Amino acid sequence: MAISGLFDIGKTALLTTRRALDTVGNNIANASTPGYSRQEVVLENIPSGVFSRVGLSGRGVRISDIQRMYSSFVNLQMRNESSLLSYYDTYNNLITQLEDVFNESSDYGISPSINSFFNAWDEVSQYPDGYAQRAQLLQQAETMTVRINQASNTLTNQRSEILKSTKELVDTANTYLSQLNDLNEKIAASPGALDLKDQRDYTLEQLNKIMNVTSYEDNSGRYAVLIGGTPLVDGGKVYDIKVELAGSGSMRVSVELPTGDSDITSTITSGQLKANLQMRDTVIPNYLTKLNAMAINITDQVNYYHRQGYGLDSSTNNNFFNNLYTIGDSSASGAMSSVKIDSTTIYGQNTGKIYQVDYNTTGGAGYQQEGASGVYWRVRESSDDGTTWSDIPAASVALNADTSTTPDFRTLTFNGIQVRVDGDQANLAADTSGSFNVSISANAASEMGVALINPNKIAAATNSALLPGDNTNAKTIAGLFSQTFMEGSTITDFYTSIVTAVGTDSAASAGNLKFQNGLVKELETRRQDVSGVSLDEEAAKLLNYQRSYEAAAKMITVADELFQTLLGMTGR
Amino acid sequence: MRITTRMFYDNFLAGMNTNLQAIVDASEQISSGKRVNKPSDDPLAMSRIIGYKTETSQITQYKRGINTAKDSLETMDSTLTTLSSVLSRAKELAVKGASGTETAQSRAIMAQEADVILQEAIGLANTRVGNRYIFAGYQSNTAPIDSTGAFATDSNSVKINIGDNIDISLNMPANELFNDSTALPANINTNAANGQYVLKALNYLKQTLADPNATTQNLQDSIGYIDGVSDVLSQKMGEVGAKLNKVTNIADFLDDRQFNVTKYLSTDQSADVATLVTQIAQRQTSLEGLRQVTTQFLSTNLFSFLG
Repeated sequence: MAISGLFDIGKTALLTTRRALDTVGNNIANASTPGYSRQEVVLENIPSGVFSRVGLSGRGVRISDIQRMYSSFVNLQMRNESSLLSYYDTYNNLITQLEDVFNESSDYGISPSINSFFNAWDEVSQYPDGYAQRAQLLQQAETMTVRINQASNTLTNQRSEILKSTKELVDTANTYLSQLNDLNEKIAASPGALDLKDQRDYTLEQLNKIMNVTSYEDNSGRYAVLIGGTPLVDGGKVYDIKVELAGSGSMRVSVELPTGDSDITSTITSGQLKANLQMRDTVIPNYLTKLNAMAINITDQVNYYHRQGYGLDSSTNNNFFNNLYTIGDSSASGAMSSVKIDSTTIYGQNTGKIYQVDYNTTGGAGYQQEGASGVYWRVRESSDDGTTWSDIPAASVALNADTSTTPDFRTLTFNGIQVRVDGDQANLAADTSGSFNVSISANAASEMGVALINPNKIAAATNSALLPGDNTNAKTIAGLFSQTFMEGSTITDFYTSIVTAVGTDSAASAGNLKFQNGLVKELETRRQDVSGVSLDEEAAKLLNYQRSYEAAAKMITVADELFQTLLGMTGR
Repeated sequence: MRITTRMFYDNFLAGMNTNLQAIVDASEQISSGKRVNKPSDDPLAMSRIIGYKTETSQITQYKRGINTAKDSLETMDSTLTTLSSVLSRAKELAVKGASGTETAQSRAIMAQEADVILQEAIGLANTRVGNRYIFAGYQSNTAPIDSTGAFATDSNSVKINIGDNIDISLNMPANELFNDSTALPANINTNAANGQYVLKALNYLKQTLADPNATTQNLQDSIGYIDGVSDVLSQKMGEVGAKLNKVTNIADFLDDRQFNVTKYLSTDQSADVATLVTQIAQRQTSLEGLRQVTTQFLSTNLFSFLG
């Protein structure tokens, strides 16, 4: 080998070391870049390429590969677990807001206002003729309804906030999807682009924080991204996701595939989207329903007794609270001289329902006859504003007729609601058919309100002849506080069960969050183990390559000196 | 395992966060004085806290009822005591009238005194607390004894709550003691009811003393009637005394209960400041250590010694 070969070896060493130093530099520069995987040069000896029987050294050094230190298994786990972490994180965040609504640690929650309301009734029972006590009662009733309204409104607002944030999340997810697609194309064109691969993995992880997508690498190095089997990025195409409100008012997440719209709501099982879906469409409605049931029951129980009592001005049949149901009679109101809801224990299951009560003289499916009168009654229910109706079986409707009064009346009892219909049987039969609707408010808790304005109309008395000292009705209503009319428990117990449920849910989610945080931290450590940059290590490598560079340079100087020596020989 | 710079940062951040969070939590408890600041802090304790608060609020309301009842019953008690001394004066008068030493004329003068006593008794029957007649029924703004001396209202007892399922009546309808709903007769009217109703007995005394034709028997009867109503009165005074006793007993019980409930509430809700302060101190120590180790470690690495 010629002396000039020494120059070549020196040159490869210089160039290779330079590139290795570049890699070290890049590692140091990206020590804190999120998603960056440490890169390492792999050096190899350049073989001499000459056939020989004696040993021959190589012709220098070269870079065989620059490796991205990356464990796809750890990264896969990381994607799944951090998706779950962001689910718990978001859920915990939302449930904490929910908890504020039901926070009873202060003295200004819903429960104290209920106590004060019934205490005010007790106060009226002590001084049934006192104007101040009556005015105080109206004030306390107002306070209580406002508290319940506020709680309901806060929950409703939270639902619309979640919808807004979900839309933003979906937009972000779509951005990630198109970024992934772009990166796919670039990587397919240049498989050695390590930084792009890092970026792609990082984007995929970010996407997983929003929703649990799965991915696999195809032959060309592209990632196909799927959610529950539905493609989102595949073969150079992006399928956008979108969120909208379904008919039930719940959110519906779907993918716009060429074959049409595909519902993926139920395949989202983790990530921020899942937390939003669950909170908005399951958890909050559940608490709203309970709040509504409470509003309806308090309203209805107090109204029921209040209507039977007498105010200081001898007025009677007044509602204390605004009715939370409406009765609409469509036809034959002439024969049915009056229709009213008599007594109710309207359970939560009834909120938002419409009942249609109708009668005819021929009977039919779902109908039952009123005695031997030839008048048949039927009750139907609808949960969707009257679009679809289903019969309540006759066996579940208690029909009791009383013909001893003028006019006759009958009561129909179903789902805890008792409706009283006045009207003579003969007249009803003559009209052959008739019907009316009973709609129960769907947003009782936000609509609850005090109907009375005049304190004198507060019905503390049960007998108009025994005013003003008759306090029996006020005493009865005050006693409702300890009655178990809330689905088998007292109001306080019922409300407490809501608070405890929120508290338990929140405590559990905080625990889950803590656990998941630890898990993700552990995984992050394992990922750092493989992919992370250690500055000390890089410093050592820097030193190593620096020395190699110096040595290579020295070698070229030596080669030069050898040349000089040779040239000096010939010049003599 | 390779230890990287990021790991150190992450660990430091996580450790610092945990410690700071604990300090924030503890100081929140100290500043609010409450151990349970939101339902999730201790869901079960929160449900007990609501229960205790509700009970406290009920006890407070029952105590208001007790005060209202005491107002009425104490007034009733002193009214009946006065009535009893009124009856003693009437008795003296009746005994004197029946003694046989009195002339018709002197008895007429005594009749005037008897009338004063009768009017005083009517006045007592129409005693009010606030604007409520305590001897009336539900018609509490109507004088129970009208101008004819008849009982003029209903006889319902006004009951208010003073405890769980415990109520007490504030009033004593006048027809249990003073008079029934018939007017006081303007002449001597011998009737068993005279020994039952205070006003009838006093009226009988007045009429007997005023009537020159009154027999010795009439005069003797009036003593008997007054003795009769005195018995009724002492029975009623006993009833009122018993009611006051009941009210006082329940008030004592409620005080006890309130003391206990407050204690339970405090056990569940109050922050244990001493423990919290110790916890904060511990956290601060570990936080300081963490800061020191981290800054010392991060301030030097191999680069510091290069070149």
